[in-house]
Amino acid sequence: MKKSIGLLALAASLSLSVFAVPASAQSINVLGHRVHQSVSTGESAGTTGGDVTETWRAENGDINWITADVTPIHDRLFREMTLDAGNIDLAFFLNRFVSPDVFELLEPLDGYQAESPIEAFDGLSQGMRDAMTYDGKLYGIPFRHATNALLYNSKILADQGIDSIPETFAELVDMAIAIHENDPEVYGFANHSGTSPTFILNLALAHGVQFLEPDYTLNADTPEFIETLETLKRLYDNGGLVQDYISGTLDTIIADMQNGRAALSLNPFGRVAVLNDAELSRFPGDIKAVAVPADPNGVTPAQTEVWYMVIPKNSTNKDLAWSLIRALSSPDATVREALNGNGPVRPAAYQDPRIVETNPAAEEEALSVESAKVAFPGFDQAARAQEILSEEADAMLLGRQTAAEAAANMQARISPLLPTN
Amino acid sequence: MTFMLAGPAVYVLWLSFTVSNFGQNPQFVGWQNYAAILTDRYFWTAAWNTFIVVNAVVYIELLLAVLVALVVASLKTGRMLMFAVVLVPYGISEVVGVLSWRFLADPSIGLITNTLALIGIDFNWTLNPEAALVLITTISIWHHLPFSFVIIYAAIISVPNELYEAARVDGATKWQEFWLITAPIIVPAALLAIIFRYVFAFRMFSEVWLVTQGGPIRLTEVLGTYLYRTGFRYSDFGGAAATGWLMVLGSLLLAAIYLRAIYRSAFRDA
Repeated sequence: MKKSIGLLALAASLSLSVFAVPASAQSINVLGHRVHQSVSTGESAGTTGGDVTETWRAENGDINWITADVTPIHDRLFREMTLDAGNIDLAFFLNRFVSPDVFELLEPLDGYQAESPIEAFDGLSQGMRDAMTYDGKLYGIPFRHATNALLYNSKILADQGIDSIPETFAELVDMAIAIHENDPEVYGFANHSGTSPTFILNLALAHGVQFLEPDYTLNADTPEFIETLETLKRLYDNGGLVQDYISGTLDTIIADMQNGRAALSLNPFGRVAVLNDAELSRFPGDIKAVAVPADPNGVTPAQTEVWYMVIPKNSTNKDLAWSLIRALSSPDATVREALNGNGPVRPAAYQDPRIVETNPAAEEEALSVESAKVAFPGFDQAARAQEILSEEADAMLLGRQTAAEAAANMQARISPLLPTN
Repeated sequence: MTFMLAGPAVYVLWLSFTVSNFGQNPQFVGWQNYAAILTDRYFWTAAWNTFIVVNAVVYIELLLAVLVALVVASLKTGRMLMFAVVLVPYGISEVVGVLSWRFLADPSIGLITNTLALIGIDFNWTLNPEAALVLITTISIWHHLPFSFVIIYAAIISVPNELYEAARVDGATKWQEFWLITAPIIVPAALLAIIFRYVFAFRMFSEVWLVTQGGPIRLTEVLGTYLYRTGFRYSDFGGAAATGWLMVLGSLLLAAIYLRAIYRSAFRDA
């Protein structure tokens, strides 16, 4: 009996000790993708930017990173933001989820910027800031751009006797198919369909057409886009594209490139670091990045997406969140994050000697960023529209309809979803 | 208690007559959501898949549960050990179980896929919706078999031994013992298992979402994933609420059929 009472007393004192944590210990809850954490803290192998958050943490407290994949991040954020008081203090937010309704849930940042400004604020890309300005108010600070490059495995190409990257995109398509013809074990492009059909969108840019323009003009039923779908089908049917394109994920793309199952990929410049990770890749140092070969008009058909740091309106820790945004947005932080694999949102970062020295593709990347287009502008029904694009294209790849039919279906199904201004 | 049960249901019913998303307050739109869903071809694909998968799951699982329960009940030694072994899938987290199956059936490196390939069967469920539905059905049966098994097993061991002894004295075969003694006694328990499994399977979500996410081209979508996609991918809460109510009505209809059967079976001789 005495023993039981003693155990109960011990359990009670242990449970009470939970509440004895000093109240002064500050922390902030940050919701984002794993990549935001790794480029901020420098934890990825082979990167040289170090922990950008170290000084801030020493002065302000811990950062509780809550990480997930792209769609679940926004799903969680939207749910949190509809509560009276949310648990997320700062979130990373992708441009394609922007809509007028979402701005209602975010904290305008102009007041914070006026009171405690970000260092060299004007050095942040003007275009990226504009994309997050609504009704004259700024709602997000750009953190990362993911501008597509052509990633290629130089060893596989060299082994096949391919010694240069084509000048035009049409030649690149032929090369992707030839790679599989030369070695049936190796496919051309490692990309996937999924909820964000970036590959098709980029393919469309390479055929000289933007699928959905910033003014919401839909170009699905144009000859250029039908030709885009025909190219996609030709790639898929001839090994120019991995066979798990329809069911694949970002993880399968990375695995395919690291294992040499595919030789090419249209993916952000920043992904080169993980593809060359000596601990995971069979081809460390062999995977390189260049600008995507030119479209029929001689323009680099680069597609970009931008991640922003936002503060939910119902955050209970707004000052601390702004303080962290400032720390992660300074010119030096931007360069260090770029050294950790981030896409820098300050154009001047590409001239920084540390970037020039460590990133052989810095010049190519700067040029791509200059001509990059946001291939899918945000609106309320953007997620549904992107899934329709993927569904109809996948149905074509599975032989259930022609390219023209897929294009007509996209036009018919997406048009009613678009904003009517 | 009534408020706890009815409150959310009434709220969702009201939501189903509104249009809203994150950041937009609900606005009444009448039957618009129901009309949109009932004219959406993907809803009918999901409904048809749910019908096929649920029926396959419920009846194959019941058959297996009866077979396994008969075997376990007939064991002279090690009965408790076998009982525990059969229950193992229910002790595994659903997500872990489903992802393990997905790994085993991976089109490139999966043990199951490669074994089937050795005997000439191409099991690429990522491109073949029928194969994907077979995989989803298999996973669901594997995970929920213990539930049906426990109900059927309890019914089988409750059959008085004297009935079997009398049957043997009369020269009954094993099949006659099962068909004329065991089966009639376990029917009410089997109907109960069917009702519960119908209702559970009707809400099927994780098996589909974690394996195919409804793909390719939404051909493996079931009503649970259709609802989730509408609500949380498209932020269309009114549409998701309307889908939820249509699912409730479907479940009630199915349950009513079987409850009536139980009622008639229980009071047949009254």
